[in-house]
Amino acid sequence: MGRLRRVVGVEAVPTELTEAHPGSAFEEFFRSEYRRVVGLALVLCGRAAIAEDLAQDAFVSAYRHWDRVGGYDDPGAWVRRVVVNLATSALRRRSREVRALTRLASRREPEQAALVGDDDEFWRAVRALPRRQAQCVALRYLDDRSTEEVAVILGIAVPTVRVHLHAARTALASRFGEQLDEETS
Amino acid sequence: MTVDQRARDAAATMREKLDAIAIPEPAAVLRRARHRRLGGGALAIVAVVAAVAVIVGVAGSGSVNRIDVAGQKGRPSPAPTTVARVPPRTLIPEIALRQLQAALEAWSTFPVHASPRPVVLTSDPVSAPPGGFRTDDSKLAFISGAFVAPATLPSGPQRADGYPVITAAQALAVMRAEGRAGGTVHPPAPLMITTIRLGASPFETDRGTRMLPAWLFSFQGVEHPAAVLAVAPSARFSPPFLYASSGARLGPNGRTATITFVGAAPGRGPCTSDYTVDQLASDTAVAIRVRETSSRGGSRGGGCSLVGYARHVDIVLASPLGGRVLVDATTKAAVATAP
Repeated sequence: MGRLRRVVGVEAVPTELTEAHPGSAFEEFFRSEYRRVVGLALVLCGRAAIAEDLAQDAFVSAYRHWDRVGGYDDPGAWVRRVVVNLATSALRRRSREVRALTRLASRREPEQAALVGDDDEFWRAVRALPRRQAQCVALRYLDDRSTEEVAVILGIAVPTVRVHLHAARTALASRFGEQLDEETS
Repeated sequence: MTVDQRARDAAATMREKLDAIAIPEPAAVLRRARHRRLGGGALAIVAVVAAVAVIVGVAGSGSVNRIDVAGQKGRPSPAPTTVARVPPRTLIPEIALRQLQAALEAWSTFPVHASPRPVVLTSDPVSAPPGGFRTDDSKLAFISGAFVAPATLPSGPQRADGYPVITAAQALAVMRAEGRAGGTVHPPAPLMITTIRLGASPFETDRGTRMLPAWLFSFQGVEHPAAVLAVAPSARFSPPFLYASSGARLGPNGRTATITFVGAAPGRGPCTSDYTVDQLASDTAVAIRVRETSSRGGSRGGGCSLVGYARHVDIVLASPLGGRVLVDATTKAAVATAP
């Protein structure tokens, strides 16, 4: 009968818990990826007050689909794509923040206060770039992803990522009055 | 300095800052999201997720066990007006059975006959001011638990609405503790509490959204008050399992229920799935578990989007739910039921 077991009736006496909590793989994933995903949200939306909300929303989405997402080679890529999209939505719709506030209730990690006011000039310049360019720069540098991985996460072609990165570097070099030292990858 | 160098430096600085962030408990994060399960927020997220699916692979195929439990087919149908007979024999996959049993075990001490029935909270005991804050600083002070309280706190009654209640001082301590749960604090100016009074506020429970006694804290510069559940811990029952992945509407006789959840599209076409709901009952709880019985992949071998669809399955319980708790076996959390 393999995986199946016959049970007589639907009323039964519970027995000892014999398996790991089904969420444990997710929890491990959450803990290992949380800070990086918050960072991605932060540099893309620029608001410490909502970056963690966006990251947590992305993880909740991953949890809801964990049956499938957990089986992927790189669930981190999935959650990054969600947070990138959420950050875009957050920039577009300030109403997003109102919902976050309502949900926030009280206990979010106060450490985010430490991030307030640390809106680095470089990342501000990145946010001023066209959306795709900013996403490519954030994933390439902050998340240390290869152009191939950036392409997978954003769902665009590798050459397109290279074009965006080149345009972004050119714009940033002009912004900071620096020389353009193109990566070869 | 080259652009590349500047970018790497900025990234390194940012990573250092990120290392200082406390990582919240995953379960707590999921719990906070629970009440938005099928609300606008959740669906918005699902919509975002929709764009994501094709990224990392083709959606996996689900279980292929074609087994019906208690005749509960996942097809849209009007709620049954008569109670169907529960088939005496049921096949439940081993893993589902173990989860159902573990969920019942987790709730085995629920005082099902207590009066009043203990409050089973499915959200937090503290509600942020509805309508939010006017400034980031106010919000950060609130979530850091940084408050300035009046010298004297009002004393409340022993009981309210049939429940024993905590004092205003205890409620304030709860609000502060919840804010500090994350770790080190770098609070901005604390929020000034202007008035404190005992009132009522909606809280999410396993019997739906209920108005319950609450201490209401008003703050300077914040339009609406925050609410702290005033029902004493002795009248609550809250095992640390959060976020049920399904909801339920109970039939009028307490013996039928419509289990609602987010799943793949209904129908017979590409990327559709069928579901059934397994169940197991004890004296204190009824555990349910949504199971995909068959799924159909994308057309021409393509991937499926992970768009979530509101699905429901009607089930018949072996006996009326009564005071028992309906429990989601995949998370062991109480399922919010509504009439």
